[in-house]
Amino acid sequence: MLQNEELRETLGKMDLVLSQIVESIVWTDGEGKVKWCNGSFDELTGKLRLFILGHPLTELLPLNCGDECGAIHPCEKILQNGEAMDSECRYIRNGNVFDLEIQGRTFRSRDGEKSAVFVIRDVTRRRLLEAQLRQAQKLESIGSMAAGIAHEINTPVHYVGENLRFIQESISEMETLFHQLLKGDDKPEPDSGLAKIHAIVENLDLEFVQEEIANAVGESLKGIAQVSRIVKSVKEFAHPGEPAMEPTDLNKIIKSTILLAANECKYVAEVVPELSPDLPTIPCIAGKINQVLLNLIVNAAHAIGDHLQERKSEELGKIEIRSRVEGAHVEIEISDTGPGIPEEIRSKLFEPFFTTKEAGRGTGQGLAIAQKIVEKDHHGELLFETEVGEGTRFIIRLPILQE
Amino acid sequence: MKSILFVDDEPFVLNSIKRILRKDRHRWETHFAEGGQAALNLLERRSFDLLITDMKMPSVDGFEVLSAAELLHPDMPRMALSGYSEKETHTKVTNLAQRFLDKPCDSEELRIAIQEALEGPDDLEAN
Repeated sequence: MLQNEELRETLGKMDLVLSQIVESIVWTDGEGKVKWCNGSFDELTGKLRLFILGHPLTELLPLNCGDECGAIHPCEKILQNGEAMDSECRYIRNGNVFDLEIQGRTFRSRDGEKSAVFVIRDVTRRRLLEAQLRQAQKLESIGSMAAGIAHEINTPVHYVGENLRFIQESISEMETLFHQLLKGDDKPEPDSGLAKIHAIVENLDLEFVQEEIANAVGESLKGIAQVSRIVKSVKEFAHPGEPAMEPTDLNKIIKSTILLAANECKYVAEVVPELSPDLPTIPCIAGKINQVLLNLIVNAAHAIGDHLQERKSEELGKIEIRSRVEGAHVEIEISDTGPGIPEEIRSKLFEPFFTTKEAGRGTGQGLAIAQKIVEKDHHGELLFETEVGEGTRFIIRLPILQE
Repeated sequence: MKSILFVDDEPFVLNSIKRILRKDRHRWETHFAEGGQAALNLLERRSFDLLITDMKMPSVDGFEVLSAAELLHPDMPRMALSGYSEKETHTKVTNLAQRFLDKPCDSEELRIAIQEALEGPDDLEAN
């Protein structure tokens, strides 16, 4: 009697100890029916132990691998091959997807019966972090290429501009020639040189051509100037620059960032800057503030974009960017007419890797990094106000003086 | 009339310089070498009143051109154009060239620099 109780107690202790292990441990018979499992497996399947015992493992873990696992459940493979294997699959429960790593091995117990042991690890979060890290690295390498790309673009942009100026000057000089050619006889002898010139001038509509050449060249020069400005913005953004604080004209950075984000914004929102002309230059790490601004503006554009898609609306939203002095601080405000941030998410907003966007559209690091830059690097504050259905407003407060 | 040799590996860049300086054709005679090797070939045959070379060129680069120029025609003023304004490049070059210009270079800036090099000998201080 005592032995049985001791045995029960020992088994109870073992169960308790084994259930502290995060990984799921499952002991099955030769056919894969569960003989025993630890507490973590109960949690993984969301079932009570009593509904687990005796059931086939393959049924308890319906997998969703697509083509990777073939038609055979990895646990089935292990049972058949007897080998310990590292299989990875996806398991679905209540619409949630889990990434699992399954190891297992068959063995014979003392009485000769075939059994198997499986260790199942939930690697969902790890896989997610790895994917996000890969994406971040990819973006980082594009970013570092940007400076080089900007430089490459600059060379042809420059000589196109110079050539256009040359054309502009030459055309203007040739006008004196045309003027001279057309002077004189209003009624020249037919078949004379001058008569032929007059005919050509009329056919050509020289006046129109001259004016339009001047316009075409002038507009092209403006286009080139625009490209130069964009390239300059990219270079400023991509260049690591000084990590130290320098007196910075925030309005200039804001305008440059708006230019950079133009493509993200233009189909979904009107960007309205209202920048205070009295903004003092304040000490900042320009490259980092640039990053924060770009992040907030792009977030605003994405929020509006998603909102428009949901409502199937054609109307553009609005992104307002304001800068002003408030006491001992400079405030930059970025507000959008997006859907606003729901209550449940507000406390998680600045968490690293927290994101509501689907893969490929943000790694969830933007706001966490932005907060770090504003608060740790600049001793400022990053605040937000939001109302569901109305929009969101982010406020960057930076001290005018740094100790 | 002064002669100037421009060296760059990109022919379109050389062409645009030719056009910009056409206005000054009565005082400056412009010569163009496409790439470092062409520049070396030319410098072996004759000297000029001013050398302006791009730094970043494939095969025979700006350094080689400047070094050869210094050897062949030590009295010829030398100017370097470069796209990357990194401090490192600056210091290496200021030993070999009297003037260093950022590329792309405004046409007015270029004109002033040439003027100073050709008509103001006192201005040839290392930058």
